[in-house]
Amino acid sequence: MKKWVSLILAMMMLCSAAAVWAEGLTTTVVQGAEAENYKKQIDIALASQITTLDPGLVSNVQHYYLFNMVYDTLLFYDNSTKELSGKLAKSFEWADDTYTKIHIVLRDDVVFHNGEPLTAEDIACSLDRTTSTLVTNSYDHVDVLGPYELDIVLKQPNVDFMYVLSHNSSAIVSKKALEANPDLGGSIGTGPWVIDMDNYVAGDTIALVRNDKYWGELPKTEKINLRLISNASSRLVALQNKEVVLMTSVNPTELMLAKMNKDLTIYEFPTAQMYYFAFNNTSGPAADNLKLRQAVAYAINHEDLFLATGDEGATPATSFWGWHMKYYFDQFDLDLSYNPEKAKELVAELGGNVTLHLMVNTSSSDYRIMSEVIQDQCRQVGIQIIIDEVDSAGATANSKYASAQHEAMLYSINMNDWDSDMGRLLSVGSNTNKAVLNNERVTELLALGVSTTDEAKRAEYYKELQILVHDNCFYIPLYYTSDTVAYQKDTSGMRISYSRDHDYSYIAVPEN
Amino acid sequence: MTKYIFKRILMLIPVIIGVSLLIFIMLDLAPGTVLDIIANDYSPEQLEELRHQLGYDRSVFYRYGKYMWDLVHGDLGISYIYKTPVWDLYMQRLPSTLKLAGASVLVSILLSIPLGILAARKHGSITDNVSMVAALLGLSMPNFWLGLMLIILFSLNLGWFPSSGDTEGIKSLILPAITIGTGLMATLTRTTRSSMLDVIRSDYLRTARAKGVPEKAVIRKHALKNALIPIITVIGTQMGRTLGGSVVTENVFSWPGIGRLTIEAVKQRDTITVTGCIIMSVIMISIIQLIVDIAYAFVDPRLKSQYSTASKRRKRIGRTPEVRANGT
Repeated sequence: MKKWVSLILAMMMLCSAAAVWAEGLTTTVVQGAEAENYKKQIDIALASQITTLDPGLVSNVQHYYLFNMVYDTLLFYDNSTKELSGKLAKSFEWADDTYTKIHIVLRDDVVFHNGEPLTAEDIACSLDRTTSTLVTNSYDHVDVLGPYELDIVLKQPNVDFMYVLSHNSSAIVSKKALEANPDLGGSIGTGPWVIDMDNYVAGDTIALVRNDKYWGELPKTEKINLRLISNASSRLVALQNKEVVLMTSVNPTELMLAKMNKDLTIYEFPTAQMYYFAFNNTSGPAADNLKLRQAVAYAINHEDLFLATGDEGATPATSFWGWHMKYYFDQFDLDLSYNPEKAKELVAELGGNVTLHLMVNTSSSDYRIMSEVIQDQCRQVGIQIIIDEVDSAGATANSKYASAQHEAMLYSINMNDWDSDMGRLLSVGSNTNKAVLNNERVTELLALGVSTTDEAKRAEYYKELQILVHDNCFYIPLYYTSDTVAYQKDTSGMRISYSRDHDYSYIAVPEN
Repeated sequence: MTKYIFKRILMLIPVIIGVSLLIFIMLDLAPGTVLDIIANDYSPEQLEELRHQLGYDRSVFYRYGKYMWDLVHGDLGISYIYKTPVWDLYMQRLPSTLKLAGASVLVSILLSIPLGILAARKHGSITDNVSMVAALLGLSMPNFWLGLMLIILFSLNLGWFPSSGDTEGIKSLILPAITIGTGLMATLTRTTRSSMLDVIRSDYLRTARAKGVPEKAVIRKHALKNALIPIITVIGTQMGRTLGGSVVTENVFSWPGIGRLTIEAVKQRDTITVTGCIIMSVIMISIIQLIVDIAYAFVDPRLKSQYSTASKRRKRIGRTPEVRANGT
């Protein structure tokens, strides 16, 4: 029965993913009626800390809220239409068929927040200093051809690099500001919002003022405070109390309460975040033990996991790939969905008494709850799961590629749209490769996929890659999460996306 | 008195050395370093360079020595995570923490001292029992629960106060101050009560009453003043505690205080920020304790003599060691 439920849910997910891909429904710009006056200052609640103002130093969803507002990138990727367009770049194209050089001509009407004009030197400086592996894995250098003209040269072919140039990791900062002040220069961008350093409290409140010299459309609001309210209940109260106009991640237990409030709009959406179970495929009991890996895969009931965490909008994952990615595939011949009988058979073949240590980051309640459910499900088929609790730093330390100590772990990833992004999770040496995977064919397929624009070939490579990971159970994809954005009814202008890097640059609230 | 203050300041040095060494060793024993937190953002080569820069390729004692050397030169270091000088981080949060600590202790004083006096005066009566139950209630209610209840009542339903942040001056301060103050109340009420009970039973109060001094004046001028020493000690300790930050309350009210900064830094293994914040808290607590000690002298003149040097004391009482040795 549960198998049928899984199958129906998987089919529903596939259909919705296909519909989403076709219609681009999961990214929305909230529209509002035009008003005569808008509130001059508004506050937005953040769920986690923004620790740095410098886009060259950190790369995660929470920071993207800020980076979207303060910095510009060369290109803009609209994930509702799946199209790239120029932002700071007036034109952009591959210089040749080797996919190792991008020729770019910049806009000539852009100035930084410090008044300095944007030039090709700033692009070179910004890309040279960024630490994100998204950029550094492929980027080599910039050839400056003139004040507004440049070539971006890559170390190896990467047909997806234009997408990387639209990502916040490639945000452009002022070279002159960095030279004048290496500590704070990284906070000078060209975006529609300027950081008000006088009212900045690191790790708590970031005050932003409108950049009246912005080259693009000016926001209607004059000041925005991004405030950390880490407790979900406190965030909701602040929203209900009209202290903030918008918040993310409503506590699932309070969702009904929030929906009953007529002054609020609750936007629920599937996200690009996937929870997964990773085996250590290099050392420990799961390495070279396909039967054990498959037994665990059969033992896990995915729906139980997200129902236990309270994420009722989540969808079970079948393929270790983003549902929103172009080459997503899940029509596997080998059915690894929940099947305790099959799991028991495999455990018997292994001689019974199978034990596996599962490393769990307990700083997130989701991981803790899921690990307990998995422990119980595995116990029922004869696999003893021993939960090793660690905090966030411990989980990262113990799962580094070069010195991984875990036997298995629970983790999650927020995947970008372009398919080669999966390289982070599958490449040899990558610290995001929590399966400590070193498989020749996987490496080969990743390299092939990223170096061709032939659609059919790419589809074929990525399909084989997904089958390989699925059938070998290197990773067990668990489920794709859902999320919520709650805001005051009249609020408009924000771009809410399944990738969760929402853009609040044009948020506005009519003055009553 | 100056010598005494100087001595107290000197005593800070071993405390700071001990506390900072303990923090360095404890964070070193925990799995993972700050480099692991930021690992995903850097390539292995960059991480290796950072490891060298931050001294993670050498022993914890080397890093500690380097940190102390910088500290001696007035440098609390730069946060690994915030990429900001720890001094700046601390100073950004200090005003909010000072405000909250001061207001919380004030709430505690305003509630506890009248309650303690009342309980002592009506010793054994229903008033006494009710006062003690009220004090116990304050201690028993967890801060996170009381904070949320106050938010629901006064922010959400009545709309009187903001529910989070330090954005609306005194209005922002009231709910978190009540939350912490109520928790502090139990100890202070009990101390006030027992201290007052000791004094109320003393002979000089009986004499004062016998001389016809009005009861209010007996309590205010004679009893309370003489019962103040233990009360001041408790207030000083509470002030010190709250200056170190109140993590739970700061989280519930999203208060930009030092406690929240320290906890976030611990989670991220930001040893420099944790050590800097704790050292600053040690200094602040020591200053508060020093102020409390000085306050004793003003409350009780008998204690002032303890701060005087031995020779001054001898001079004051007109005895030399020789005279004392001869017993004449």
